[in-house]
Amino acid sequence: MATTAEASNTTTGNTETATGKMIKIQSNDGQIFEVDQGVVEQSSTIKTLSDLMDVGDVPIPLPNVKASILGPIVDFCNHHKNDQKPEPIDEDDDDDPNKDIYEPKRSDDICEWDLNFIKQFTVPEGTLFDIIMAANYLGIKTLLAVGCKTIANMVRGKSSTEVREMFNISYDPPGEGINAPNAIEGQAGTVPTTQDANATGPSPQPDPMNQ
Amino acid sequence: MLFFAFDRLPVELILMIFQYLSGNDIFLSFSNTSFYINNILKSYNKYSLNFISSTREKFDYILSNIEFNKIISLTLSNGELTGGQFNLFLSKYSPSFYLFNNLYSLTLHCIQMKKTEYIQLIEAFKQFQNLRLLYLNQISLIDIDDCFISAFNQLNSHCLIKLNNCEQLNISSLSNKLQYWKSNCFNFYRQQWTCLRGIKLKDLSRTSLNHLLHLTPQLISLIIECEIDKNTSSPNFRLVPNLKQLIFSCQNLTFHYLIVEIGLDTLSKLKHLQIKCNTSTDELIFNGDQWKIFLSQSFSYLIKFDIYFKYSYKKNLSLNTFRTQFWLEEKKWFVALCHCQYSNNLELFTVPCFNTTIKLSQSIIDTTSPSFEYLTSNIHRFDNSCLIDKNNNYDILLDSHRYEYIETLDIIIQNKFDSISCWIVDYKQILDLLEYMPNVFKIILNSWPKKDSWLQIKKGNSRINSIELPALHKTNDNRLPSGLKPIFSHLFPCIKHIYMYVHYPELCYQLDKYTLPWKNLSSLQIKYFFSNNITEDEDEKNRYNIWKEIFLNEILPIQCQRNFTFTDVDNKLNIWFGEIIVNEEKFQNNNQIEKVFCY
Repeated sequence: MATTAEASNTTTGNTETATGKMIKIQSNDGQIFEVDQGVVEQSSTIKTLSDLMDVGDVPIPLPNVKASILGPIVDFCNHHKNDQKPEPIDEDDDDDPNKDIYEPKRSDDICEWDLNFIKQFTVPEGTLFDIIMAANYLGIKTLLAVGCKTIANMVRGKSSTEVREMFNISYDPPGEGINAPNAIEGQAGTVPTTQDANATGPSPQPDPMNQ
Repeated sequence: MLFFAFDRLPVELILMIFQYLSGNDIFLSFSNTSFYINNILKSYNKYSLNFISSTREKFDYILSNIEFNKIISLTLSNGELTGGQFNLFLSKYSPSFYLFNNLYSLTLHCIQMKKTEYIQLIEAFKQFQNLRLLYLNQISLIDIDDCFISAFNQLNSHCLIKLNNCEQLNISSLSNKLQYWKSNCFNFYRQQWTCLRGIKLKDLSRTSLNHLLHLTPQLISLIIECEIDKNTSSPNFRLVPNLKQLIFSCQNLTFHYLIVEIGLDTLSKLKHLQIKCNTSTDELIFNGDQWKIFLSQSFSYLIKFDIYFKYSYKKNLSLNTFRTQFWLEEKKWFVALCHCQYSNNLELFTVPCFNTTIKLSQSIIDTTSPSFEYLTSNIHRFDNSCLIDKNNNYDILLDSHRYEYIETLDIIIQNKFDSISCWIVDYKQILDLLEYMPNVFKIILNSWPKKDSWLQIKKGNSRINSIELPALHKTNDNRLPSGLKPIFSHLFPCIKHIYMYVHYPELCYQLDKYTLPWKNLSSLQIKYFFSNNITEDEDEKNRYNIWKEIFLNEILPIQCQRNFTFTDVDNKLNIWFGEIIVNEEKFQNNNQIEKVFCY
């Protein structure tokens, strides 16, 4: 049965506020959130769905996102809804001599609010990957960038052994384990979710960088 | 308990994460983590590899395992951490150059090139047919008559070139290729430079700035590192209306000068403006409201704005005009005011840009900075002399602040108030200082800390990986070589890079006695100072050369028992260590040890 998020102040029907039309979205565990246009504009998925469908009072279902993730995402979008839109790229920006287009993008420019926001999601609980998956599904570019930058910052300078430990990746030699080609093909169309941490796999090959 | 499997993220998300990582990090951190990720790594074709500070072990590992056609960007360096890397790359991989068919960007850093390498490089350029960008940084030539012209001629017609401090290279044929140019002086052959987007000038004494601007109408970035003074004609920035970045310094700045004389207000596309002035007398320049009007009217796209002004009048200035909504909230540009006790000048500057030293930071009397962390975020080096007060007391308390952005700790022993007396730091004080600076990886010792003070240290610091040792002056210095042992074995056990300064060749013979961490070292720099720098004594030079031969052929192979490459530029040996030689027979035969000589 659907419940309504406390913070959303849902009333009957879609409401008009100072920021425009309010829209309801529903997580896969039935919780409903009411969001304004400022939030909708940041999510290409919600925007497309709300444009295409005359949703009326019916909440837009978001079957790939659970409430515990959707709630913070709404907070994130509410915080950023008044941000200046990034400038369109100039025609001659590629000519900027100070910019090397072949270098990796910066990941040290996450603002303080976003840093604190992303800290509530962790690897052991799987929520850090959940928020990245959800940002990707909802088409929220700024949140997706914050998540990817956070992972990149965690990985940088680590050996593969450390990465494997950090992300609980069980090593599976070619042709075996959950990531073997057959296993992956068998999972086609499913959204990757959590796995059993106690599952044991074969030991990895020696890490040349750890010797 | 359930865990999410990182290696089951969709490929597009993993590739998105890769956008923020260098090719080195992608390859070293993810290879062999799982079958799934190995497959992604195998098909990934945008590796951007930068070996400028790489260990030889990682260099070998990456280049032995990567498919060359997946590399789009490559940076090679013979700099102080990787002596001989460029020569090693040429000698090992020249037969495979044809495989680098997706290499778009090549950067060569800090290389003194001889004819052998030059010929190999020309062959490489012939085969790198998709190269779109060649960046040459501090490249010099030995006995190469054509000044790099043959090499430039091999590049395909789409390849742009950036040059930084390459004074020996002839650029006359690059009018349609040169994109960025940094040099000591202007030598532009009176032709238009249609591709040139960036210039950095270090000296204007032999340069007509306006003539240069006239030849480069498409310029986007102009950085003038020297001061535009009364001997230099005022620049006319109206000649380069597309500028997005402008950095310059001048004398006696006024708004009249900015608008009427140099036409700064016509640069409507500016995104980054930095102005320095050491002798300001116009009070309006110190008024935030005046700047707001000028900036708002002239530059709609300005994102970064930095100023540094010295004010010679002994009059107090207020920062109130910089505490408005425009400065603090809209633009988020912050300033500080400090009083220079020596010149008695007031200095007004934006932070963190110009607050680059602890000394300057300590003299700030007022600031609009939102926090201490923000204020000090551009200080990357800390010297401990600021901790010594006028009474020669050493106070280690740093107001409980943590200096997150400091990368190098410079231990200066000499008392700044008295050149005769010395304040000797002990190792405990050094380790205590490191507690305030969680991101320091390099430590510089200008003199030896108190002898035996290491004995009171129970646990060393394993974060420090780089150390610069005090200059070795005396052959009979009894603190050496035994004084080094606790540094590497106890205090800083993870040292990978060592810098040494030597004043007598005889001292270098002692290196076999030094207990350096030979097995862990990635690089070793030995800078030899001649006793008379102006006219290098021939005899001393010969003694140095003899020592160098003995050191490289006899002492070093026995001590390190590893492969190594090296360069010797300006009497500075940069040694880069490779794998350990395990086969004793091989080791005993010195000829088996791989050495790439790069004089």
